[in-house]
Amino acid sequence: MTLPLFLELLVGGLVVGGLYALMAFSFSLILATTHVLNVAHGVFMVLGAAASTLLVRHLGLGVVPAFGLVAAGFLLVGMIFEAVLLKPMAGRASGEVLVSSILVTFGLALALEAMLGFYWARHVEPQPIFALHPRISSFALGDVVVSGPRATVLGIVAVVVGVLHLLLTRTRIGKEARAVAQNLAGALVIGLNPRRVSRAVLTIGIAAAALSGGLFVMAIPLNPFEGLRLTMIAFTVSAAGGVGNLPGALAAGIALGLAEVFTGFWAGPIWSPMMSLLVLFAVLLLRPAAILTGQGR
Amino acid sequence: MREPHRSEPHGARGRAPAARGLKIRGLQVRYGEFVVVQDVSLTVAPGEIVALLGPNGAGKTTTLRAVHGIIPPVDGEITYEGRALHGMPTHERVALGLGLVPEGRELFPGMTVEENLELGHVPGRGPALADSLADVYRLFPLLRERRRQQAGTLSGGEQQMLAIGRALMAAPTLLMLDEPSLGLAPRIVDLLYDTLRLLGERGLALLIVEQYVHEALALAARGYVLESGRIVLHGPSAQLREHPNLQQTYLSV
Repeated sequence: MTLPLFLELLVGGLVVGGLYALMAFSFSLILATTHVLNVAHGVFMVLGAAASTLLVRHLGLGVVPAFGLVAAGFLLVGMIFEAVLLKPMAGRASGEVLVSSILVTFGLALALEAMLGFYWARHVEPQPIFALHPRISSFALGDVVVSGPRATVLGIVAVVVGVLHLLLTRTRIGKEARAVAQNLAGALVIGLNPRRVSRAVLTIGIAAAALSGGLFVMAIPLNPFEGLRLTMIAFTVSAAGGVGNLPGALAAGIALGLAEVFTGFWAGPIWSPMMSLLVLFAVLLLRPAAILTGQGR
Repeated sequence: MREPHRSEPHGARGRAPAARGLKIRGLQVRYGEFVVVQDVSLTVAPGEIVALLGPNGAGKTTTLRAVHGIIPPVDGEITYEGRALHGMPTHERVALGLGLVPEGRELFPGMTVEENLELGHVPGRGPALADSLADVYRLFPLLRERRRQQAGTLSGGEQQMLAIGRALMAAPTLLMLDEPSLGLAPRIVDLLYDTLRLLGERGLALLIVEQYVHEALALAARGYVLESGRIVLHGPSAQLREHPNLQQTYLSV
């Protein structure tokens, strides 16, 4: 393998991995603080991808303003999601919340997927594919040509991860979210309001999922029925990185992205999806308790 | 010695003196079918220090948890500063001035000492964050030294100080402490009780749950002895200390 080829694969792996990290982190933050296992997480990504495609391809917006609109719009969707589906579970034992949230969000995922596919096929294009091809010129780094859209994706992912990190470590609500994730009993005793925290986390988490969906289709196209597959990847990366752990999700996401890209190059693209299953298998084998709580045995 | 203690506390002022402080009447709490607190009535006046004693499983912790809104009682009435607390979530009770230093401390182990303290502060209540922090650091200089350290790496005594400091950050008017001396070396216990005495002198009301009665009765003005979910003994600390066989009969330490 030549060096430029290696570097090109490396950039590709970083792009995919950064996207995995972003979607996994919002998934795992929701799981850690609210005990909601959001099966619809990947579907919100696909919805974000669809909304971005609509704004850019059919309404002619630039990519960055479109992403801004998508993030803002899905803050609202996240608020509604929390108020309608999760409010009734507030105050229940965490095990009950976990089980009922799986059922509720699984139903929601199927319903949203079907609606999106139907709407798109009927009113936009008969063959729904969500993809963005912004004209951002590529540039050369030494011998390597870096594609403009990919570099943009990497840049935006880095900014969003940085913003999430600052939110969690510097703001009151972020510290409250970490406190709730670390010790719910302690958080309740000192008078933190768990509803306030779960409202904030779900709102921001859904918006981050939608935004990562928009970014995703700048690198890899999606169709309306890939949401549950994406949820599975988010679940895997969050379990491998530690539930609620931002650096962990980043490392696990990038590792998985690189593994997929290099496997795809050497063994053929049909082997790439096997990587995430291998990771999930390893986590289940080595630290089964970690998939829901972030703590090993 | 089941003499009724009906005299109203001296610290009460205003037109409705009976409404001030904490009042519990006929409290009953169950875990499923298991009745843990049968019938508990007690009062803590503003600024008063009261000990709640009793053997393991008598219902002391459960009483505190019911007052703090962590478990709902089946029966009885709890009021604080004249407000009925029934159905009120814990965060509203904290805003009303109730604080609890729970059994097991319940810190945030992966966060720094200072972050733990900051989280105890209730925005808009009491002094500003920086002033509250400075005050806690004055009370516990050790916490200032360790403020960048993760709470999970502190020793038992330091963790207890942090738990108390975190509760003080919310500017409580009544602080409930659940076995603050549990698992600590005697020297540390003395230090802790010195601090509690200081807090009492500042006018903070304390309700202290203990299995080990000496320190608690030396500090408190009054005490209650709980056994199998009922108050079996109640009176001024001096009287309880002189009670023949208090330890053997009721506390089985």
